[in-house]
Amino acid sequence: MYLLLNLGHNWQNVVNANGVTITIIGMLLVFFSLALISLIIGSTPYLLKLVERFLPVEDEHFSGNAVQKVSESEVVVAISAALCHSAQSANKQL
Amino acid sequence: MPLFVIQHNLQINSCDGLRMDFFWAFFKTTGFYLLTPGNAVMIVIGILFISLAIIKHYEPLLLLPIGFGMIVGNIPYVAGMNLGVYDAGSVWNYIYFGVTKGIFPPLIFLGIGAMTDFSTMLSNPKLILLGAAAQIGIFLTLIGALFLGFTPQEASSIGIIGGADGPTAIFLTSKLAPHLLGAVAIAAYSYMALVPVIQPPVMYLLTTKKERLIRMKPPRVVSKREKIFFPIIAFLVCALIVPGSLSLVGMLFFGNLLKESFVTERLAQTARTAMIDIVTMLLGITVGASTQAQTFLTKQSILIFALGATSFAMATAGGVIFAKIMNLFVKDKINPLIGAAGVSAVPDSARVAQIIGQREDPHNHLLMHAMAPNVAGVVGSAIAAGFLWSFLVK
Repeated sequence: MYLLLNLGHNWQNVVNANGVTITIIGMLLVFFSLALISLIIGSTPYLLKLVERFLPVEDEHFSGNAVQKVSESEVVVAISAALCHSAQSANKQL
Repeated sequence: MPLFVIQHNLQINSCDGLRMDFFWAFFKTTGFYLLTPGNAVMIVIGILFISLAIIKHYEPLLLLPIGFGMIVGNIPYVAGMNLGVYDAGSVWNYIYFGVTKGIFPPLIFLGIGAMTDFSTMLSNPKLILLGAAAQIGIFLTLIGALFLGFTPQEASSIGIIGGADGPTAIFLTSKLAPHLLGAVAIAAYSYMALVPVIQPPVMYLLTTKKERLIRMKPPRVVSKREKIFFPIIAFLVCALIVPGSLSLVGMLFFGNLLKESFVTERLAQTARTAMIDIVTMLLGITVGASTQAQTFLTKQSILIFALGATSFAMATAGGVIFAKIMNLFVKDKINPLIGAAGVSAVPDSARVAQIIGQREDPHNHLLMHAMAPNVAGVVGSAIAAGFLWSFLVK
């Protein structure tokens, strides 16, 4: 009984401080803001196509997932490094 | 003990007892004499943090400065010497100013913005919602803290630990409940370091093997213009909806614009290297030094740690469950493991999603996909902090 009364008293703290209201409004705001950003990002490629009519892209720079042009020697160096690393790992395991 | 007291003691003693009294008086001013069991415990915890950073590589950039700071903060000294972070005029107090006034967190956000690549998020914008869902941990913990008798301001500061974002937690606590700064900061950073320990059980509990095996479409290539457009528009949206997030998101997106514009590479380079490193060191060591046993070892701190862990687990669960709900409506299925990355511990929680995904299928690479909710979580927690600050500021 005391425990139940205590729980009731504790829940009163949550009610007095508008805890549930803060939670609902807070989550809605976070969702709304990020959903709006998400929508804008989703429509950005279409918006940029419109912009490109007036401001054509001169030198589009890709990064991240784009495949960049590399020289043959750089490819050889990368493969050598990878082989060397795997050989070292194999030696360590042995 | 001040020098004049020692001199006075020397004058009143006879020559025979002079040397012993001198040493006794001096001994009373040393840390060995003044050290309390609480200080000793905190020093041991500080050494544990340093060990975790060096041996286990758990967030070494944070845990090492914080651990050393804990040792610094728990070296006792004679009253009146003004040495600690809480003593006005001390060197530590001047550096701690950056924490108490909320200066360091936005500067760290500037560096984070300058080093973050938002392209995975831009290529699959619906994943941003996972970053929003994970913020549920903040608000449910707020209710839990209110239930346990904390004030709304204190409860908000405790809840923000679930955002898994140290600078945001420090920023909000410095504004709403500065007396909890040490406990909240240590809890936030400790749990950020423990992401690989806290998150996996929750992720396994809430997902099936079939779900963990879901492979996602590779992200599309994002153009330079999209990347430049994003920080400006995202800043406008966040700041106009929640002006309280201005300092954090302002710096975050400013840093990102420096990076993506390609015309301020020197500034971006400084922001993501030298500047963020300096601020991290100063913030880490002073936050650590603020954990003096006399103020830190309290029942309240233990409750904050317990609530912080709950907050983290709930945030992880929120992200995973929301990913499962999204899967009911979307054509291209989402691997629910990446929902856990919605807590903004960048990039650790994304890495955890990748590791667990690869345990099921070694050829499934989730890291890129998980980075989207991960960086969205940073923005989400900053918005949540801004809202709580606006709502509860006295």
